[in-house]
Amino acid sequence: MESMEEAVSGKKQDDSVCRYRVSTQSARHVGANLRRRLRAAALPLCCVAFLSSAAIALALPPNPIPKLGGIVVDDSSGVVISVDPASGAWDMGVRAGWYRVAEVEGMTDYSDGSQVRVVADHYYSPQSGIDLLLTSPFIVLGLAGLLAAARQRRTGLTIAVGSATMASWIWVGHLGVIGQAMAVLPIGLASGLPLQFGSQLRIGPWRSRSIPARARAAMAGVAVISAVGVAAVAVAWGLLFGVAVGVLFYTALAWLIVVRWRVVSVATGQGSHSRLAIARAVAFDMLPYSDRVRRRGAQAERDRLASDLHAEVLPAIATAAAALEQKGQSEEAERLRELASSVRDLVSDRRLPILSDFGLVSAAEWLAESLQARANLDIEIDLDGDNGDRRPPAVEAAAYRVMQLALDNVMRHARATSAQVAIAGDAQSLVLTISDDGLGIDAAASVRAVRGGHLGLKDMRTEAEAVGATIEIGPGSPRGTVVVLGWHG
Amino acid sequence: MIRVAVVDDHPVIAAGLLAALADLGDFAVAGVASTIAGAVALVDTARPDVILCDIHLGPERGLDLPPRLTPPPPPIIFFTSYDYPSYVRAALDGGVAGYVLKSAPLGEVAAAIRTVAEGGTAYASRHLRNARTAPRIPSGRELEVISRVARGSSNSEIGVALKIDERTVESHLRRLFDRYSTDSRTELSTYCVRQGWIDLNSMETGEDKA
Repeated sequence: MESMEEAVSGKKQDDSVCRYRVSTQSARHVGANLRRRLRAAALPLCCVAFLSSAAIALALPPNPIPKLGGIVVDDSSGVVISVDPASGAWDMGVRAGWYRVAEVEGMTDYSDGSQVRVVADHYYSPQSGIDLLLTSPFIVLGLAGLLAAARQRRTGLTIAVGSATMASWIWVGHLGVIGQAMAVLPIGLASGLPLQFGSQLRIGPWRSRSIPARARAAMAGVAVISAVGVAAVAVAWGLLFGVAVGVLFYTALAWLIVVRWRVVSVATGQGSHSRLAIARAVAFDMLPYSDRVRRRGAQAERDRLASDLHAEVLPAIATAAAALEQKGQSEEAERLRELASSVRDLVSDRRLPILSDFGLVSAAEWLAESLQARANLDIEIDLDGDNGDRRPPAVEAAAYRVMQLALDNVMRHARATSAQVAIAGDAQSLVLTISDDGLGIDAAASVRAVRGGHLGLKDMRTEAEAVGATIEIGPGSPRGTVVVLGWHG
Repeated sequence: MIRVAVVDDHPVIAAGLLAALADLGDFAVAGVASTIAGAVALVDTARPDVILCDIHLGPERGLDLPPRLTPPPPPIIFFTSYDYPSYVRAALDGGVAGYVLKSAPLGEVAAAIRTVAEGGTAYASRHLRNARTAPRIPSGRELEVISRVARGSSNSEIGVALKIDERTVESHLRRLFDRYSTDSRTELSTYCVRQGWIDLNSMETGEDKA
């Protein structure tokens, strides 16, 4: 077969025109002629296809990372992280509730109060050069196979092998380990082709015009070994890739902790820390309080919402109510004012993200801090006998409300210097005790009478009973008032 | 005559101050106390026109006096050697009428007493300026926690020493870290030393305070 093909190939240049003229004489010759013309065009067509697909492959972004739609940021140590403002995801790891709130003079403010410097807003694509380097042997093999098949005038095979090789080359970097193993198939095929048809290329030992059966068998063996070798390399590469990913993942995780720490340090403007110091701080100090940063973020969001409502919505309602009043529609005005008051209640009292997200203890700490900041009163929180479990949301909300009402009483009426909030129990029980060292309930009641306020005792009872909890309000020892809420699930 | 009571845990200072004031002619001695309870009793019986009170009263804090007095309390001046903005802020928050340093000349002390006796306030403008942005002083229990943190105790050690759960200690620290925007135990400790809230020199003997 080889010798016959060789003979056709040798005559082609001389009598192709003549053959064309002759072939017009009969339909049989037309078909044969068309095939011949296609074969003649196969090589240039394949070259064009190869070059254009190579151009397309080069023009494509080398490795389109799943777009986070975010930004790339960098702290002073040069660590790069991409952040998605919508979901708060880093390029590794997830930071729920962490997003960009403002951007001023190259600094970006995040909802957790941290600030980072924006370095660039493009994506970091780590491979491309490496991709090209790793796939270049496959490109060479594919190209060689393509040339061999084309010279062999095997048009269909040429196109199939050529396009499969190129597809592998273009996509191999984008596929997972299994996909890469699959891609080995056409690559192996392509790598076998030059060996199979090596005699036509007249290279190496295959120079003789007719090849003995033994040599052909040897060549087939070499092709198989080559294909297996390529597959083995690909699998090994996949394993290596897996190990590398694992190592990178853990390194990145460690870095993220350190980076977050640095971001927090930058945000609070507290000095510079060495990496070792940071790592130690993370290991020994930070971990017990690790959700603190998240909590700050949640609270910042809540504060922002509350201030928006206070600054924009509530005054607008008040203005509308006043306008209605002037028109003599005092009933509608009153309804609007009630609406405003319930909005105010919602914002300031009940729908506390810190309560729903982080639980009663965090909410108590936050409440104590915010009340303390406004009044000359120390509020201590006692968690002795609490195991940190969350209770049902309704119970936590009622407990928080009781705590709020009781502390409000302490601040307004008790003339206390300190108050204590004790939380004890587990997921199935809660004992919440609010005590102070002030005047005591009877004296406070008389103060209330003078000031015309109310002590909210009824409200506390209503809140407690709504969730099946008991409430006791009585004098403290030696002074002050004690409010005890008890609940069993 | 303005009747002045002095609350100070150093009797010689109280006596010396009252003697010096009496020499000026328009002041009379209403009494001396060295504890909060003593001061409350003194004010109830002697009804002074002005109280000069030290901030550091042994284990007690003068800051706790104003809310303990039967209303309406007479005007109070904090007479102290603590020149820290956070104490001035605490005085302002507590409705105290004046803040005078012990290093001030006698004339200044006398002028401050006269001013508050007439219903005025006596704060140095420098103090007012800094007090606005001063941090809140930690509570007594918080200071006990911080001074142990500064000595290198772990949370569980602090819990044992103060007879509270480790979780309560953690809660204290969470709030302190948040309040003072600090991120580590060391940072919190140095911050509190800088603010004059804990004294490194008396720390060795700090055990008996707790």
